Amino acid sequence: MKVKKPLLLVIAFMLVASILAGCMSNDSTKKDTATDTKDEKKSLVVYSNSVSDGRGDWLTKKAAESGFELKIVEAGGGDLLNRLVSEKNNPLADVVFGLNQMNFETLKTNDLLVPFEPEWTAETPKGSSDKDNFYHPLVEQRIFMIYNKDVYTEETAPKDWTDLIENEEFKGKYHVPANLGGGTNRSVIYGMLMRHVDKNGDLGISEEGWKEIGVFFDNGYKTPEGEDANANLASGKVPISFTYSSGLPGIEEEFGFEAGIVSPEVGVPTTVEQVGIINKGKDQDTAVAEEFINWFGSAEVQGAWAEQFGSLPVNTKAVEKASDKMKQIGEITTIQKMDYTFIAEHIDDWVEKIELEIF
Amino acid sequence: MKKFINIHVHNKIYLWLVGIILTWFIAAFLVLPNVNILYTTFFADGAFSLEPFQKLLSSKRAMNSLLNSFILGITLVITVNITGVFLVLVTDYFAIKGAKILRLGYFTTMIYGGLILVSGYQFIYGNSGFLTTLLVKIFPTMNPDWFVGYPAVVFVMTFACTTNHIIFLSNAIKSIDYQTVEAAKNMGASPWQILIKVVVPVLRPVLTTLSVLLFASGLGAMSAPLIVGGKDFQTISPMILTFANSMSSRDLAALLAIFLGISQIALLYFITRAEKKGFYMSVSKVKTKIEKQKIENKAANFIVHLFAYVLFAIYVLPIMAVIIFSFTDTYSISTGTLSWEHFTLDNYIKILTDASSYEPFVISIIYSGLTAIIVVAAMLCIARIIHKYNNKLTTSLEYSFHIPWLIPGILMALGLIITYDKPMPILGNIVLTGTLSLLLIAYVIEKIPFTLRILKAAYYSFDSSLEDAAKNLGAGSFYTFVRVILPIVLPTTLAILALNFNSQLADYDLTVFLYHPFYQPLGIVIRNNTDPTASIDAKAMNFVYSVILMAISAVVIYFVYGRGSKKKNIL
Amino acid sequence: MITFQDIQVKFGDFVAIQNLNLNIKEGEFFTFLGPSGCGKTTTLRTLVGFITPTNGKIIVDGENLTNTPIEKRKIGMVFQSYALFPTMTVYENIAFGLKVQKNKQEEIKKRVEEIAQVVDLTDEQLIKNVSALSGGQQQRVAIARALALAPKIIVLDEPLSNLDAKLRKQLRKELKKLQLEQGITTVYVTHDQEEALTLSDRVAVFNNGVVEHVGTPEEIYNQSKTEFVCNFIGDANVISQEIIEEISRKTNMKVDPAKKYYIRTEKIKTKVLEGDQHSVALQAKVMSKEFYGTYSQYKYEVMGTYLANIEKEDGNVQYLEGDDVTLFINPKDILQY
Repeated sequence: MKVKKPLLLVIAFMLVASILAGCMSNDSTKKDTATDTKDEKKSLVVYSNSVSDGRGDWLTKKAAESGFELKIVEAGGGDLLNRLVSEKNNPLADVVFGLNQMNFETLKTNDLLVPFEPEWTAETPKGSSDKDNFYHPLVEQRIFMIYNKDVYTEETAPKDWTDLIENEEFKGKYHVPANLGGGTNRSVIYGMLMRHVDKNGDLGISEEGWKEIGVFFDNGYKTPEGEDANANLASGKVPISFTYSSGLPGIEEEFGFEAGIVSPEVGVPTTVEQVGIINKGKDQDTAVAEEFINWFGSAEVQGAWAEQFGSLPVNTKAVEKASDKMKQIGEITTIQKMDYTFIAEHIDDWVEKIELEIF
Repeated sequence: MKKFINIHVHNKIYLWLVGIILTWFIAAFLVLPNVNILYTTFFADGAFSLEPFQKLLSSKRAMNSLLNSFILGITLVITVNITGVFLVLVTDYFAIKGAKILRLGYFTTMIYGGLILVSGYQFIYGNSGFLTTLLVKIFPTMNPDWFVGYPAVVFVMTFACTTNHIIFLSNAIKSIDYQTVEAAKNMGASPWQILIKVVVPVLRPVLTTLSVLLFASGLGAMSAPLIVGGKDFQTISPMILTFANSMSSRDLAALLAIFLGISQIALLYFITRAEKKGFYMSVSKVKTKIEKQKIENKAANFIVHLFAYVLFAIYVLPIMAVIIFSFTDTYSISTGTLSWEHFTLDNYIKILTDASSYEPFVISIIYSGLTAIIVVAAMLCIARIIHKYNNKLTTSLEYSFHIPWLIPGILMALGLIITYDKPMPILGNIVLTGTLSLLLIAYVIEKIPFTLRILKAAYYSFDSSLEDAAKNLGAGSFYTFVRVILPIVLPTTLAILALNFNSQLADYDLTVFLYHPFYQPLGIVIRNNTDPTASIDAKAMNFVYSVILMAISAVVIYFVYGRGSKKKNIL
Repeated sequence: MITFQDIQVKFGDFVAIQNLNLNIKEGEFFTFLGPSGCGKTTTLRTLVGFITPTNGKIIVDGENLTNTPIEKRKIGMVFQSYALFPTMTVYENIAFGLKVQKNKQEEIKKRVEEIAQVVDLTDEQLIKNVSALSGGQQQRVAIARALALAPKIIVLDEPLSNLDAKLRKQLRKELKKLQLEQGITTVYVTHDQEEALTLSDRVAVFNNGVVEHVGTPEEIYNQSKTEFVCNFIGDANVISQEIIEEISRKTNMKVDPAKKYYIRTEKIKTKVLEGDQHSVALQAKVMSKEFYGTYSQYKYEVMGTYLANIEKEDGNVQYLEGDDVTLFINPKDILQY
């Protein structure tokens, strides 16, 4: 015992020392390579909430072929926004993409963006970019209701979100989000609330609107943490759910079933994933970031991306490369007309109200 | 005389230096960020606003969650104490066949917890769990979603929260003077009377402290209500997390957190009072070691054995499920079925060979290791100062180091971010956000109160004349500390080092706000893997991560507790 | 050798030691005796250096040690709780001070073995952990550890109080023998008067932070300077007003009504020694008897008040309760304060 104790201490200290050393050296070597390659390769740190399901790996590889060395940081939309704002004075990201226009509006008001006009602006529909060129659209995502075709037919399936509320038959049969942090979940909420805008109502929404959303959450199946809404959808346990356009093919493939798309008459909410350059202070050289955005937003890359992952590019020249499924979605669904400035002003309060009073 | 002045002045300078550093640390990391977050949330527009109060008070959900948290806290005090006392009686008081194996089973909560533990329980009791499937076969009308709500949360937490009982209560039982039991027998007391009148009263002070801790864990419960609480049994911690995540709702998060904080202050007060009343000291000079009691009544003996083994099954089945499923693919995991064709070693191979899979481990081990070492080393010194110089200054020092107990981790993390996301003179204008050190600082802060309490107790547990003796024999302060005091507190130090290390390995709540985006710790990866949009293998990987985590924790625990109980260890 | 000069120790407002002046000679076995809280341990700790006096000087061998750090004073100490280092073996405990001084390994070994022999510790005991030893053995280790550095002075703080009566007596003898052999100046703190009387060359009786009497055991016993000393050491009767006046009448002894009079129990006789002309006879009745083996203690009623004495037991019954006896008191044995 007598001998063991000092030995143990020594081992412990060696462990610490080696860990420390390892940590340091790891760090420094990484930094070294980063600076070394800076001259030859154009390295960038990219933050995104839109790189899941292998999209990140694909992008890293493709970008490398064009001479970019990307370090992609992945996080959910809400976390990503929080992180960008909290890193305001010491930003690590060079480029951010995937967040929607409302999130980018927040970044802009926090002075986190650098204006820049990409070469492909002309290829996007007029007026789709920020008017001060702080951010630009890449991919459009429509958010729509889906159902399991094994359970419902086009006739028996709900026609609109309001069906879920009015029809007792769907009680407990549809997924409602337990977390309102992400963009997709939020768009379901505002898609419903925006039908009941009332300047005199609570938070700009009429009483009826609030009642509707209350019933919507009460009758839905709130998928708990650890359970997979898509698995429930596939198994028929909760046969109605919702998704964003480029998420659909993945769900069908993973769980091996066919989903029907619901297209309400009023249309479906749409969000557009944007891209922008992060403001890193006065002496910032944005050349590489600009070059990357020019490359990434180009018809060629967006087209390939659409082909690979089934997205709906905003770039008009890339649209033709989009998969049939996406084109189909674009045809089936129409865009719900909504005042996004109004939404941006109120969405946080709405979510808070729902969290407090409806959940 | 000159020498004397030198020594004393040196001493003074050293004390001043320590004092300045501590004051700076407390001001910079314990006070400023927390004051800052409270100020910015409640004085957002420069004036104090009662709005968040009104919002919360008029929210049925918030009020229900508060109530539920309280109910959970109270229920746990009852259920966990009963279970915990029974466990300890089985392992240390009654002669039970196979007690050693039973003990191993009861120890499993020491190596896994949080999300992993609850998903383990889901594998047994969840809607596609083994027990549920079995029951549905027998009773076809049964609702497979039976394991949800208050009873499910209480069930999971009752068995998950016995760790402290196993550690502290079994020590208390071992310190019972066996002669008191013999004396009671001699006076004709029945085994039941002995248990109730002699044994349990000795445990009562420990039980008081444990009850307080239990109430706190019920109040702050996160994983269990989130996963098995369902719609009808929501609690406050998940709400705090949600609100903290939304920039515009942080005032609500802060307010709820303050409520938790106030409850913690009240608890702290009770703990301190309970501690002051003191633990019963054995009055006898010739103590006899406790002997295991055989239960003479056959029926009683059978019932106790039965319960002991049922509990063993409850403890072991979830962990077995996690281990077994770690060798299967996503299909098995998401459907809860087992068959040979779905067994695979791929996930293990991937973790051991793929850098992006094992990197989170390395990162978490480095963070946890550094945290444990830094906080234990620092508290070893600070507890020593508090022990050595018992005055108003050190008392206030001790109290300030308890601040992290009053502020939930999430809020503290936000405080650090909003305070140090810009250059602050107090930190030499270094911006902490986006650096590796931010998370380390938060981890260290979070571990301070518990570590300090335990180490302080360790210092107070030995005879103070030992130090005098060493000095008298010519040893200087440093030599005395290293050669005499440190060896005495070393077992406790190692134990707390291990506990700190284990507890931080898979942390999520605090980590999510603060981690460096290039270096994702394990907790973040595990949580991201549970996200519906995560890749298909991700869920399977989580089980492998969990099993490796358990293995690491088990090794660490073994080093501290496994090698005989010869060493004096207050833990 | 050791001089306490005008020592005063204050803890906040509380005065623990008041103007203490003492001289301890080289090679002397000196005891601080007193009830708990009287300041004897405080004085000892001031000497060793754990407490710095608020006033006064401590001089050892002509050198002022008042502000010398503990570790430089070279005074060996044995603690009441022994304060053995629980994580070390007996050997390591004894060698601790020698290691601090960075002695060579062989020298340490030699010295430890030498000391172990002095205090009767075997080689097997040396390699044991201290917690494996009995109380008496631990005591020996504590003494050995204090002696290992060959200090000029050794101080012992109630070293025998944790042992049972028999062991205490045995160790007391050994301690005295050891002190005589080693010739080390020894300062001993105890509340046990028997220990103080049997061991010491001189005794200082402490009360409320003040030394009431310094002298040889015989002096402090027989000629106690103060009422406190008289009461604290041995057993003494308070002589009531009635009895002292009776004695005064019979002997012309001057009595001061403001003073208190005492007589030790063994000085009251039931028989007059031959040639004793001065003793006064008093009529008494036996009230009770306590048998102690070698002697018995009797309680008598005398003139409506009580006196006690002890009588040697020789196996024959001497007095029974209710017996009338004559008690003899020699006025020179009366102590007055």
